[in-house]
Amino acid sequence: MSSEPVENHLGYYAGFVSRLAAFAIDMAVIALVSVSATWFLSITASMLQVQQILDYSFQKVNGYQDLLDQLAGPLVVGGLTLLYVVGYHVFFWTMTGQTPGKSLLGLRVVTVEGQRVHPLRALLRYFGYVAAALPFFLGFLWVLVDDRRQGWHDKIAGTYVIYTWTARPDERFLARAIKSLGKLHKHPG
Amino acid sequence: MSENKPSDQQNTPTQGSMQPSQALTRLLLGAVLETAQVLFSHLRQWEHALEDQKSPDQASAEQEAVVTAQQAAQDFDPLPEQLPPAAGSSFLSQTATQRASPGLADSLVGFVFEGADRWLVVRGKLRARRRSAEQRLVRAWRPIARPVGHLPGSGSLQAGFERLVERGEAQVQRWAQRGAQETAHSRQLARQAVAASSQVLVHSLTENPEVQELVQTQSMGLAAELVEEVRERAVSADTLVEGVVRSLLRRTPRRELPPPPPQVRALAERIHPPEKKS
Repeated sequence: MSSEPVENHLGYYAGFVSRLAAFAIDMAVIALVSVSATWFLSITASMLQVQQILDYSFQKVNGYQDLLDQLAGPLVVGGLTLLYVVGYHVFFWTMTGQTPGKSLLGLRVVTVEGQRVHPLRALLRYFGYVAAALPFFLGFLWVLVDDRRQGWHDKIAGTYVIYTWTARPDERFLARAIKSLGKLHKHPG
Repeated sequence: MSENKPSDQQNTPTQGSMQPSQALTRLLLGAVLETAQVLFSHLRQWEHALEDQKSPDQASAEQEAVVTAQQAAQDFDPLPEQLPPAAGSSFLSQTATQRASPGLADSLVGFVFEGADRWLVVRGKLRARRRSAEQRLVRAWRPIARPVGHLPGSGSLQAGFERLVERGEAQVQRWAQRGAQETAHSRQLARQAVAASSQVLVHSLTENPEVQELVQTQSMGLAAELVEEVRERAVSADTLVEGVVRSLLRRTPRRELPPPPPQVRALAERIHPPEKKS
């Protein structure tokens, strides 16, 4: 094993905090787009008087109101939202390997063979999120202890998340943080 | 009646004719005049600003000193019947009252400024004395001039003298007119030269690829710097949090990250080519 210090960590496995920050940014983007789209659709529907048109058209159809409640209900809305979220991740992982959040943090999802992620593998990876999240997010926390910094969803889909920039830590910030932790350890509270 | 000689007409500025030496002279003259005007206007502003910054006590003390110096200049007689006692002693004593130990440099500077004030006063006095001397001379000459004027041939002499005076006055007037024209022309030329030079300079700067690159780098630099800062902090936090968790789980701390497989490293380098060492 080489004892020379590595200049940068380009291509190395990305850590938990970077991935968590990228995930948070993605969630913010998804929420923003969802809220905007919902607002836009509701405004459009009210302007076009969709509700009144449907009420007038189907007033004599039995069970129309129940059907409408079903359509506008949580099941359909939840399904559409899920579709959107899944589509968001699968689309970006397939196209560039980077969602907007990962792009900002300089991360990329690649296969263990060093190739781009195909759509099916991306879909598999997303459902791996469910497996990782179920036992109290243990599958995500696994990144902290794994040698290759893989979560359960990475292991299921056969992917790595790597740094795509000349990653190097901020030495001063690290030294200050270690010093603060050392003080906390000595004098808790 | 003034007589316009052909040589005089050739020297007046005409449209379409340009002599390099004349153009250069105009440019230099215009540059000096414009610069002086701008400089003096700025000097006035700066002097006013300095005056406003002074405390009232300081301002009154300086005003008193100026008045004393001016009084000393007024009292100074350039042609005294007897020498004044210890010339400049009031100045020296006035300086001594202002500061405990005036330096040589301060004294010399004060001497220069007071000298300039005194010269203005002296010049006025000399002019007054010259005028009074001229009047005395005219009064003295009149009794002699009257009989000389009645001598035969004196009329033609006088006419010739008057023609000479007229020609001189006409020449001076032409010079004044020409000077006013050239001054205006020179100022315009200088302003145009400055505007054109500025345009050329700005154009060359905008066309210069190095300057363009610098501007682009600067504008992108701030955003890129911010992103890099965030990324570095995230990487630091990765290392830190992992170290904490490993220590909590009693695992051996990791001194170095495990390297990725070669194919993964190659992909990363294709995406982001490593920076070449200088």
